[in-house]
Amino acid sequence: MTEKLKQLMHERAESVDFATPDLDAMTRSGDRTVRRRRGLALVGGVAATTVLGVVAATQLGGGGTTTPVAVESPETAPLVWATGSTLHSADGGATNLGHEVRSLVRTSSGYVFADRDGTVWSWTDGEATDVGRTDARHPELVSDDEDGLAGWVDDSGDRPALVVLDQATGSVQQYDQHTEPGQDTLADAPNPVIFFGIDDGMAYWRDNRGAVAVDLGDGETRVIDGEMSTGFGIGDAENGLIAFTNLEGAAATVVGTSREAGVGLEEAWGTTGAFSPDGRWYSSEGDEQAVFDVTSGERVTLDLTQKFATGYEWLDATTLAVLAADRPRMDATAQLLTCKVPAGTCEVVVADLGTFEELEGDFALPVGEPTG
Amino acid sequence: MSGRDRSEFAEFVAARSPALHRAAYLMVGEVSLAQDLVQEALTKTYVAWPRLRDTSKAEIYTRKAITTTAIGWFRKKSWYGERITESLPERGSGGHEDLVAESDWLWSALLELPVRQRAAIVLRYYEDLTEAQTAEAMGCAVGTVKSQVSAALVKLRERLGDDPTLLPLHDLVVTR
Repeated sequence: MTEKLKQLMHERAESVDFATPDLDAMTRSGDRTVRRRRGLALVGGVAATTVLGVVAATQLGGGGTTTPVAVESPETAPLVWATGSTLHSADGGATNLGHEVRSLVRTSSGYVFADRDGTVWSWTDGEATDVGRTDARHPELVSDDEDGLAGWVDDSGDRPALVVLDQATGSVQQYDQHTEPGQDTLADAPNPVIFFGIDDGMAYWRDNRGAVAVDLGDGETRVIDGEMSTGFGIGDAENGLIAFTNLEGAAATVVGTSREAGVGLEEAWGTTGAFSPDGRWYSSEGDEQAVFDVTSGERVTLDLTQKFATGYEWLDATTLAVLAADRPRMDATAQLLTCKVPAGTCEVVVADLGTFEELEGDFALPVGEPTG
Repeated sequence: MSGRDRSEFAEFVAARSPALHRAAYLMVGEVSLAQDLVQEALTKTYVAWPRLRDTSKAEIYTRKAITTTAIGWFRKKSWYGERITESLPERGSGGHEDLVAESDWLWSALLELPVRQRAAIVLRYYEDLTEAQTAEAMGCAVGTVKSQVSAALVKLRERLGDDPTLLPLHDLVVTR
């Protein structure tokens, strides 16, 4: 009885000739994304999407009142940060996300953030969508900013669930087969459930098997450290390399595929950190900058005069974003810099974010946890 | 599939883009918009390529990207989602011209549906997906698919009458 409807759709669809998709345009656009050339820029309060998206939105909008600006995104991702519900970029752009931001990450498709209540929001195409819940005490998010994936731990059910959002399609997948009721989601709790990171289709988390790497395509899982008892054991993962942190011994961090087989990074004391997109460099969180060549373990010297400086995000393969201040005190003025690695040259991009006292509780960098 | 292999992706695009275009066209009703939609969805698929692991998953992913992207576009321009025409084409009762008119009439009615309902109809009755597969492609629950399909059919019946050969009456009942 559906025959006429079905027949109509087949006839209509087959009566049209479509142009062959522009493969070069797709792969160029995709490769730009992968190279961190994101299709997202803050332009006059409008979050511009890819050029294609803008074209389509314009067509749909017809005689709409807003004319989105098609912007060729910069090769290097812009510095961004959030205060209150506003997402700022270093070029002066500001976008109201509609909800207070306590924790922020970016993906190739947009941003994901958690508010003070632990609600997780997906921001794409100028719109915030409620996509889940996480621990309001310390909302932690992870993402692959070369892909559209973000993750967090949902503690709202009877047992913690690890959640993966694909911002490109809006799909949300939950994993709770290896957690149990009562497990905490804070890193310093015993036997916690912690999401360490996502990279290249692999999720890295800790559940009651220890630290595991889960292939998000087929679910295949590798236990990478069955002895890991806290949530402080992995700083980041990139290109199959894992930064094992919180170690005792000469090297506080080891970079490799296992704790036993890797390059030691002496004085990389941070329990978290950030690999450069190609996995060549690793910046360890701390009060003073600590960037390492992971092929040799050698520390890179950055030309910084600030007494407090911590690299927190790679804007491209050789540009590190740094949060700094002249003094490691709460009344010091926070600055944002970019430093080139390994050249070591640095430039102040945002000279005055306010003091750390002023920012406390109201400031988030795209690192996946509350910053101020 | 391994890594972001351009030649594998090119093969996938060559093999599947005609079918993807046709489904996209039914969802948006305009050729140029369907092409933009497929282009954007395939770009998203290319970015996700290394983790999709096999071609069948790539097609599911692309179909989902097409559907959710289309819904997103139309939701932001909600006036566009329900393009009520002032009058439907005349319906006849017999010959070839009448059949053509009936086809135009049904096509217009389909395009007037809100995008979620239209997507559900296209996925269920053009792509022949199950309710569960349709839910996966739309990023919603199976119950939502049932209600969207039912609401779409009610709307079509309001516009087209009770011709039992035209519409699937059994899906008018929401069974969730």
